[in-house]
Amino acid sequence: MTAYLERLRIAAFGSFANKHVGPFKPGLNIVYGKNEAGKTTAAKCIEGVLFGWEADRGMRNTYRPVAAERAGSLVFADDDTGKEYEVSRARNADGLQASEEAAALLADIDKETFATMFSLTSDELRTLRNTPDVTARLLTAGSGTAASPAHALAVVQERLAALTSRAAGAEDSIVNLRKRLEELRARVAEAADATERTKAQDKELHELEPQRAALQERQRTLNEEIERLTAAQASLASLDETIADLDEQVAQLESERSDVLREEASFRRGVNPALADIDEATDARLRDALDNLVEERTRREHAVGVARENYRTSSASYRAFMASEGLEEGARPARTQRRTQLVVSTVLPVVMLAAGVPAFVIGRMQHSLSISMIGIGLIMCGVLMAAAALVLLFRPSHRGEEREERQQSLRWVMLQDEKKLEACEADLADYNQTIAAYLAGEGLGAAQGSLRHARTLLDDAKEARAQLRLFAQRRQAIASQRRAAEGRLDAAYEDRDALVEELAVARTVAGAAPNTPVTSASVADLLAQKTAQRDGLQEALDHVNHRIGELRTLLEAARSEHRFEELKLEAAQVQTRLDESCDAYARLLLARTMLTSAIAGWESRSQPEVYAHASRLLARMTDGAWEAVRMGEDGRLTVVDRFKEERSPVHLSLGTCQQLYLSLRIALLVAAENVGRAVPILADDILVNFDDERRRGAAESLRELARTRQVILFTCHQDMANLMQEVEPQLNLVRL
Amino acid sequence: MGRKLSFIHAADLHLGAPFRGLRALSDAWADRLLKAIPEAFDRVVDAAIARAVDFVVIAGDIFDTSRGSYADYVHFADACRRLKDAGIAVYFCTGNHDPYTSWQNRMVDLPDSAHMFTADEPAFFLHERDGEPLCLLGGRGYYNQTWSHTENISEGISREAAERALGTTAPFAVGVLHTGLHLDRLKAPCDPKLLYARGMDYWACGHVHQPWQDDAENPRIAFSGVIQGRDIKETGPRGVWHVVLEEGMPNKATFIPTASVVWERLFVDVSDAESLTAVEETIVRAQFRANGDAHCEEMVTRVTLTGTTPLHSLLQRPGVLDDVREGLNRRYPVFFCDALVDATAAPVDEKALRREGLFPATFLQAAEAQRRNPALGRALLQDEFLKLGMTLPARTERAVEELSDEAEHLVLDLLLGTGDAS
Repeated sequence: MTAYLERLRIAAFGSFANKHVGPFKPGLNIVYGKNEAGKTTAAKCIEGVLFGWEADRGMRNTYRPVAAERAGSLVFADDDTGKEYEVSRARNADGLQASEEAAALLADIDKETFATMFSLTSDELRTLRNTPDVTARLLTAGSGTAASPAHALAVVQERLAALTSRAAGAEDSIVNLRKRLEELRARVAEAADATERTKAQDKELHELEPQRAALQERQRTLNEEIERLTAAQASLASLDETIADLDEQVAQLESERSDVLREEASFRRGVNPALADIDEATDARLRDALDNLVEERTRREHAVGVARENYRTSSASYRAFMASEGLEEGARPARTQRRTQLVVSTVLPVVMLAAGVPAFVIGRMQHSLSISMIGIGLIMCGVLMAAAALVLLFRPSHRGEEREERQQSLRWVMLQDEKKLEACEADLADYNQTIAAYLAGEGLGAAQGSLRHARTLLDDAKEARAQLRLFAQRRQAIASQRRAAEGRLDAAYEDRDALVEELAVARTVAGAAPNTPVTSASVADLLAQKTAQRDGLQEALDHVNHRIGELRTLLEAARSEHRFEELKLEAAQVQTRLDESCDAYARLLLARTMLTSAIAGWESRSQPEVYAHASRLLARMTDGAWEAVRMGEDGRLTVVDRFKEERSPVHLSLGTCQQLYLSLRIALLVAAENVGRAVPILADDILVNFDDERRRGAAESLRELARTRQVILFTCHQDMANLMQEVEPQLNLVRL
Repeated sequence: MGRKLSFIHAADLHLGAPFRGLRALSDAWADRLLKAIPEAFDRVVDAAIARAVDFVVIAGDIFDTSRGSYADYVHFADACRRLKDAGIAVYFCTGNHDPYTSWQNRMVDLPDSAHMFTADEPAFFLHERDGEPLCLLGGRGYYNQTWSHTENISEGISREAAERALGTTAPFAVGVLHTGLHLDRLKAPCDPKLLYARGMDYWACGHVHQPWQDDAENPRIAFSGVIQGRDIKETGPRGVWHVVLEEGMPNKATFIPTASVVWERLFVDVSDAESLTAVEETIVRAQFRANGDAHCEEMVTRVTLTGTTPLHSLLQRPGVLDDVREGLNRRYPVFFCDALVDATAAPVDEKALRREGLFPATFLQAAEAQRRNPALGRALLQDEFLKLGMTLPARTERAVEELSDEAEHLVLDLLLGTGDAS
């Protein structure tokens, strides 16, 4: 297939719109037009369609029409079949609009190669930029490949660079992957450490659990101890209180007892001691005795009363007899007188005796001599008077017998009665003395012989005894209460001692000095100590519990913790990618080596040909003034003149320089005939600086080029057009 | 009828092992794979319980590293407890990955039904059924991560030694070893002939990751392989043996697949595919075919596209293969295509190129020259890698020839425009 540019349609470019340029033919074409006819515009438009419109930059003419987008199309035609392919471009962003086949026609030419090699202007011909590169590009490109080996090499280089890039986005970069792998490995190591920590935690948990059980056991024991101590403390306090109460109670009872004793003593002082302690039988006996005494005395008093009545009767009979006689005889006064004398002489001694005996007794009892003497005196007087009365009584009566007898009888009776009375009274008096003696003997002396009084005394004594019994009862009650209290007190002391002993043991165990006394306060101390211990234990237990809870949570989480595995997996993936990148890198390195060695080989084979060709062309153009073009090993061009003198291109004249580079380009374009087969060579008035001879030589060279490639020459010079037509009569002339 | 013994022969659980060789897992699949090995182990336990076996033998490498994760240790202990609850004992030895030294400080107390063969000398256990001796077990594991070259790991383990040590005889005798046997001469190797002479009925071995039996009809020495493949190289079904020993009968071992995720390397020829959709279809068909063979639920595949196709240049474009891969992974969540490798070739006639004598011919000559001298290639690569501050990875070095071929294709693709030239 040999395709060529058939025509150009400028849809909108520069000052042109909807303008057709062409038709062109394969081989040599010349576009002739005056200034402003659109030659350069057409050339630029072709370049623009193929490789994109020039961006607006600075003051350069970018051919942007006023109020419109640039647009144009190229129509290529197949020389053999006549088939046409249109490629067009409107906006740069949309790219080249072309069918696949049409695109393939243009695929092997890049913009730079086109600008350097295909689009030639007078200015462009002064040099050949990057000669070795372009040379290599063309030389190797013209070699049956779709992309130039140089391009392939560039791609390989680019990929190699990407694989060693440090840019953050370069995911496959070996450098980045290694860094990432290193990071991941560090994290894997961290995770492994974390795993080890977890195992250590598991171990800790296994160790803590028995520790906790031990702590709980100790706590339980301590709680029991504290409970016991608290109870003991309460018991101790209660016992102490009980003891204090009981002590007080005992003291109270003691004071009550002494009160009772005092009362009793004072009472007892007011009581006859003889009667105070007699029993009921004695009392009854005494009372019986008193009753008997009263009866006996009453009987005696009655006898006295009867005797006195008898005496009074006889005495009255006697005195009545005497009184009747006295009236008659005058003797009566004498008898009366006698009788009076008798009575006086009888009564007085009796009275005296009656007074004297007790006085003597009392005097004896009270050891009073005077009273005893009075008694004796009275008794003596009574005896004397009784003797005198007896003398008087027995003096002979001088009155009649009968009377005498009568008198005598009356007097006898009277005397008899008197005697009887006296006897009765003496008996009574004796008896009274007997009573008094008895009473005195029985402790009833205070009754002074009075039986009534004695009975009153007995009653009083009975009452006092009852009272004393009451005292005794009270004393007994107090004593029994006290005994009970003391019993309780003993018991309390005993309990306390037991408790104290127990506490002393506990305290000794707790570390207190063994012989310090156990008191409620010391128990409280112990309790406080134990409580503090328990609190400490609780704290430790809380800590252990907290730690166990913490560990359980951690371990529970660790059971489903896959961070370690995740990281390892991630590291494995990065390792895989690193391996792949290393392989890719190695592959590219090998590819690069192969490619560079192939390029070198190819160049060494084709370069001499190109330079030989270029040398021929240059010699033709310069009419032998310059013979050869060479590429030095340093990649610099040198030219050789007919005197074999070597020059650097910079030392050539403008024209010769342009001829050198034109020759070189033509030689390269011919050598690389496969590159850009369909792309025309655009030459915009390139021969203006050439003299006539050299211009002809150049025209011939272009004709030679046109045999292998389509060449389109733009010119505004008629003579140029004529020259070209002379050189190549078959050329296709397009007029603008 | 003779007495009968049945047990599970497992080995190489590699709990905690990462899956290697994967390059780009989705989160869901990463999660899936993290659980794959523990799940596979659960299946071993389930299988033991379901078959009501007498005991389970694990021939080493229970953990992938001596510093296994807490979760894995707990998981193993839990599994032993589950087996104990079902009345199944566990006999295990240590391997080069979890040597005896790493078990000394094991923090999870195993139940008393789990018995470890010590590593410093042969150890023996008697397994009883209903108070009657049923099986003598003798075994030995790794003491540390390497086994001495001068010592034979099976030394001192025989039926006679077991009878002497245990003071009793039993109808069956099983040996448990972590050994490379004659298959891996670097890891406690051991001549099978030596083992046959020890009077054991069955040798349950661990270390080799591929299931292996000396004789499928009457296996006397066997490797169960890993319970779950965890490397793109460990393809195919993985599991444990259910071994039945019966007096007067040949040994019988049935393979129980336990892997929940199976690895497959698929080479898919896409020569006939005319579009990317067709390529995708071809891959899916290949996946289903492989899945049908593997008896697994889930499958991780590495697909290499082969064949000569004009789609080559399209497949070479950046992002195209990724798109295809993502499309595949979206379609069937049970298949995970980890990597899609393009090994297709453009329809390039190398002979014609050589005949043309143009640049490609020169290039092919240069490539040929390089391939002829791989040592030079290695030296070059070593130099370049040193510039990156690293030594040439061994696997890359080994692959120089292969890489050279690939390099050639790469350049040809670039030159001929059959690859991605951007």
